[in-house]
Amino acid sequence: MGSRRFARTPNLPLFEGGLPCTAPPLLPAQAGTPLGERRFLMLHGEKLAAERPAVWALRFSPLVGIWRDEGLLIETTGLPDREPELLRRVRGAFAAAGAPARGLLGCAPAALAALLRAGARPQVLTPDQEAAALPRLPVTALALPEEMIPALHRLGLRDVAALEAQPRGPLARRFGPAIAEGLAALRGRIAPFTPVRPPPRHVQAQEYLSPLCTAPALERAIGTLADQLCTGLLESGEGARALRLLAFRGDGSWQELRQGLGQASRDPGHLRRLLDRRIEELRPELGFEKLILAAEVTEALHARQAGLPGEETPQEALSELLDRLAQRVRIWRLEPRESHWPERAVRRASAFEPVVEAAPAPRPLRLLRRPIPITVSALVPDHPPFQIMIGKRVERVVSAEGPERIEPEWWRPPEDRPARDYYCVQLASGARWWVCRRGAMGDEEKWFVHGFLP
Amino acid sequence: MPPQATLTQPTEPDPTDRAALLAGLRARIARLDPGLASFGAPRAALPLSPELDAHLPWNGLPLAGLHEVLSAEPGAAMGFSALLLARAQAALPGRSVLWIAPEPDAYPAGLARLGLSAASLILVRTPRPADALWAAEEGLRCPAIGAVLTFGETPDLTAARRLQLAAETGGGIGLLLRPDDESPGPTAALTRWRLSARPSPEAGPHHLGEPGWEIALLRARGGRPGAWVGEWDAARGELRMLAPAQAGAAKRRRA
Repeated sequence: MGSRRFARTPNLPLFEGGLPCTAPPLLPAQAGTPLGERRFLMLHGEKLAAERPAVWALRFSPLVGIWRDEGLLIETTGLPDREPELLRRVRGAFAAAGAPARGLLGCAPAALAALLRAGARPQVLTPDQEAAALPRLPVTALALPEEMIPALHRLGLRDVAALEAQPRGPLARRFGPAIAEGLAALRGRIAPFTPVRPPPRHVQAQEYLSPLCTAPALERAIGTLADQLCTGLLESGEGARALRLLAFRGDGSWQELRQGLGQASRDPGHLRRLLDRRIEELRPELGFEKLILAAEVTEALHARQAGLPGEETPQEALSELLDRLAQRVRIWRLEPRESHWPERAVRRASAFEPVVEAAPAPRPLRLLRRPIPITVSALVPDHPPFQIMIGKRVERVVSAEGPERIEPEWWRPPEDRPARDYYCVQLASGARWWVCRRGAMGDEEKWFVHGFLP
Repeated sequence: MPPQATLTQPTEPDPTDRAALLAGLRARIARLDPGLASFGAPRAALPLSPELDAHLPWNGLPLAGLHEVLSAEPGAAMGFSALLLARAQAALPGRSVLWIAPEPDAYPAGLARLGLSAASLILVRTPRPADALWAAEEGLRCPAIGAVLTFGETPDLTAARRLQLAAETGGGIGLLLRPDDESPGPTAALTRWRLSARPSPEAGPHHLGEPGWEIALLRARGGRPGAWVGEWDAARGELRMLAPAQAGAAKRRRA
């Protein structure tokens, strides 16, 4: 138990008393991040580990994840800003939004989180600085199960240097695989994190000095973003299948719009037309100060000369038309299904996929969704009708074909569905109806017109 | 065509040259209304049946146009409309057909008997009439759509004119299937038909025979009205006209 006295708690600051990490010099501007090296910004603060702050943080980088239940992880690899300015800007924005956060910019998310837990000040760490600071970290700063800390202390393992000096095999046998994974993560060998939104393949963002409030301004801004997005898509030979528009307001709230496309496209005109129709859904309130347009899902699209009007193939013209129609009304195709039951013999299929053809059958051209109830007279109960009363009108039947008995499918509930007898009848006026008797003959039978034959 | 316009301008100052004046005016009208300019010019048409084709001024039902079908009997009118859609599908391969209705309830097995393939049929549900007209116009303007069928809508003259212009852009046919009306009013459509049923002559008590239709052409732009009694021959896939003596009965209903 004596060892526990020396155990450091997260409340105790780590960097005190002559440790060299107190004030690392700010880095000169980085020309670019070396290949294969990823940079992350870890933010710790009150209530940061939630979806709302994470989505809000998408304005800084397209890759934002929630790190355990402590804070946010923002991948900054390849961002155009200089890192110290980026850190200052992100922390300033979080402070202005009412959620002050401590941030550390470095290479390994787990190491950054451990350093923050140990009380490191917000700064940008070079890989060397990070590597130098790690051995002095106490084991309490690592994300290890609580009951493991006293056991480690009892063995005399108080900091990361002592822990890393141990052979991994016995350590893993004694404490389980979590400790080996934790050590590997500290050195940045594994850096798993799940972004709150799937990383888009292509993204365009723009900040506006004066907030955008009016529809024409939004239309122009979104149009410009769409043009830039299409340029990027053209360069990589892809077409967008799903778009996401994120619009950030000045007061820290934002709005998200999604738009799907029936067929991969990188035609700026088509994207503009689709997005323009959604502008009325945007609520600028005091104005949007940042817009991000991302192509979430993309597909390979063969290079083709673009921009000659009237030369688009019918396939493209059709998918563009269907995209426009689907925005406002419901569209579908009809696909045959293996069933004799008239209502079940077709099912709705996506309008964007091809369907197989139906075999011709003596069926009406339209199947009435609500069959019209009728009263029927027949000479003998199981004879075809010779007179039909529809409402108060009486129609005489001159010829009738049938019956065509359709039995219910017993494998589908409800099991006591009655069978139907269908007749094609021709009235004296020449009209042809598809009528059916539902239920057993006698008092239970009910008659309906289920459709009109040509 | 702006280059032509600038060319014809210098010839206009001479007011006595009637031919040049008329040609100039015709060119201006052609620029204003491409549909009117092609009036009388041969345009692509759908074959219906030898008798109907000979009667219509376009030798068939013209493509790139709007047509109205008044439904005196739902089955016959639907059958005739489906036949026109099928002919449009055959004449414009690769193009799709839009079926626009408040509650679209097409049934592929029945439509296949009239030659209409459900593979290229797209159903559009439009609970509001404004949506139906918008969808019809978008569809007609699209070069990938061969025919658009709109149910129950009675567009006013302006809306119908818009549809007609859209059809001229896209090259397909627009069909307005609407309930029969004693005074259907003026229209911007190229033709207006009324369809009612006619008992088949070879029907017996247990045999319906081929579907018989009374086809009345109420209006055709640049053509004469007419009336026929036709029969759909499903086996040979053609519309057959019966004895024209019976046409008088159809004419009487037209009053």
